[in-house]
Formats: sequence, C-alpha cells, structure tokens
Amino acid sequence: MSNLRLINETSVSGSVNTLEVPYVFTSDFDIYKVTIKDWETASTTADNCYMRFIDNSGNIITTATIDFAGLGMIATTSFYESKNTNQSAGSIVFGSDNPEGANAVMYFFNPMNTNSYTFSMHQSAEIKNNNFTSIKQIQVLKQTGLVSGFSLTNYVSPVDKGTVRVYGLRVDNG
Amino acid sequence: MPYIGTQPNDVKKNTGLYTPSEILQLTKDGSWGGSLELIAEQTADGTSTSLNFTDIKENIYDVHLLQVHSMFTSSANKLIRIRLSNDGGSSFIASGYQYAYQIMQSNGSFSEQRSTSVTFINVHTNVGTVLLESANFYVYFYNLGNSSKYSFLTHQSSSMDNTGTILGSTFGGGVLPTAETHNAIQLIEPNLLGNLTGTAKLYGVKEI
Repeated sequence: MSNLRLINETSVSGSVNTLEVPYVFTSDFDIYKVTIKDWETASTTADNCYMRFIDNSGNIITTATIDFAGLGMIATTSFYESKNTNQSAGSIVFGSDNPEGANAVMYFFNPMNTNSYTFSMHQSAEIKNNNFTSIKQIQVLKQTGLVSGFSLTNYVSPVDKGTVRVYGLRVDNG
Repeated sequence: MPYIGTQPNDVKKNTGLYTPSEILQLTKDGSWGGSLELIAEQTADGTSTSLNFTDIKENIYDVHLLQVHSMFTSSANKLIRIRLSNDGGSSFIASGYQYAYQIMQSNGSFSEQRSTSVTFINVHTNVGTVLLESANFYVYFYNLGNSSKYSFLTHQSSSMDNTGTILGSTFGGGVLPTAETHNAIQLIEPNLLGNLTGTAKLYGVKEI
C-alpha cells in the first residue's frame, strides 16, 4: 500500500471562470499532492489560469500576500521568467486553450500549520495558442492562518473541462 | 472497535480495524488502500538498448508516474529517451514529438532545450557507463488512454555524466501532438549504441 491517499476529486461543471476546491486540507496531512488534468477553455480563446488559496471558512484569500517565481518553457521560442511579490490575484499555474488544455502536478506544504506559511509548487504541460509550454513554479501564501483548499481561475476565458484530484501524503506516527 | 496502538494519519479516522461495509464505502470513495498503484516494475540488465512497458492500463488511469533510478548505458554520455506506441508496443512512434525543458549543471552551463519536431522526448542529462554515473528521474504522463487528446508529460531528473564531475538536472515537459490512444511506453537509447542497465517502475495515480 502506498502512502498516497486520494482525498477528493472535483471536476469543472458547465462553463465557469473559477473552480473552488475547499475543505480538502486537514490536520491529517502536512503535504498534499494535486493532479490537474484537461483544464480547457470553453472557447478557443486562450487564457492563463491563476491559483489562489482558500481559508478555513471556505473563502478565497484575496489579500496581496502571494509571492511566486517560475520558469516558462516553450517549445517554439525563448523561455521566460515569471515572478512577483504581494499579489492578490494569485499566481499563474498554466495557460490553456481549446481543445487540448493543460495538465499539472502540484504540491502544497503546511496548509493547516498556523506556525508556517503555506507553500506550493507545481509543474505543468499544456498547449496554448498552438505552442507547447511547461511551467515550473513555486508559490507562497505569506499568512499563517489555516488554509483548507485552493481555487483555479481563468479571469478572461471560462473553462468547461478540468479535473482536480487531491491526495494526502500519509505520515505514520511511529 | 478495539484499539491496537498508535495509528497513522488517515483519510478516515480509525483504530485500524474496518468492517466490510466500511471497506466497501472507502473503496467506493477511492480512499481504500494507497493511491499510487504499481502497474509494473522492470529491470534493464544491460542486454538491450530499450526497456518497454506494454501493459500500462491506460484505460484505467489518466495520470501515470514513471520512476527510473540508477539507470546508465554501456556507452558513455548517452541519453535514455521516451517514446510512445499506439499499437501496444509492437512499434514505437519515432517522429513528431515536441519538448521544452531546462538543463542545470553543477560543473557546466544552464541551458534551454526546445524542439517542435523530434523523434523522442528527452528527460535527463548525459550519463556514464557505471552505477555511479547514472540517471534518476520521474515522468508524469497525462491522457495516454484518451483517444481524443494529445499525450503530455512532465519530468524532473538528476544525473551524473561519464566523467563523474558534472551533476545534471532537467525539468520540463513534452507532448506527442496526436489525438489517439497511446498504450505503451519505451525507454530507449535511440542511437542503439548503449545498452540500458537500471530499474523503472510505472504507477497509476488512482482516481475515483
């Protein structure tokens, strides 16, 4: 038996700008793994997807406390750095369009530890505007409050496909 | 239920004993057992330039994890690449791949690697001919079994070159931009100059 435990599976329903995945982080785990598959815009208009954190009351955290740094790797042109501090809109996890969409694996660290910031990192693979791109990025929410989940938002072009699975990395107490 | 000692953190609080109905419910919820399910483990013994996974259960899993460790080649400074098959491994596709990844080297340069028309997908830096100069990497595959989607992958690696002085790492991804089912995975030294030695494990990442 592996120590990876499936906790939650959430899929996009209809055409939406935001998919919320609240109440999936608990004190049972310190580290969570998330797979995101087929994040796809409803139209052919490409867009970037931003990740934000959700507090223990189920509300998206909108204070300007997110820092991030990453590298965008594009098959057709030069790579680019992506970085910023004190952002409220979240950090870009990937871009996508229709019909191929985006896929990624993310990790979250210490979301329910009030002595720690909540850190995350991810790596993606997607087709956007006919260009293959992979993004490797780290993020931190510079708050020590409880984080129960996260949200994914396309601010411009809604999505109508996407599946998010959350896993806990089990820790044995000895 | 009797208490049998300190219990691990778990999806469902428990004392370690489950009733049949609890097991059925947890199985239905996708929470029974681990969520990283070993599909196959293969060992390359140095007699072939490729290692194939031909029963990958692509109809069950839409995310696969391939872990490769301690893999090296019989010829110096070779790369072990990824290819996919659409016929169960009878043949492997040798054109049309795209990739983009970053190389970091401890005793060398960092560089961008990209292509929109290659015969394989690179996932690590040069390795040597002995265990001390081997490649270790993981690859996530997405949508291999979805005939209406491209097959994507992301990867990260840590390898030592043939001189034993350059630690190299890669991270990035690739795609085979053909909407069809891909039902076998190949690790190959495509120049057919270096036989593979090492171990690879393929997992399915469980879904409900």
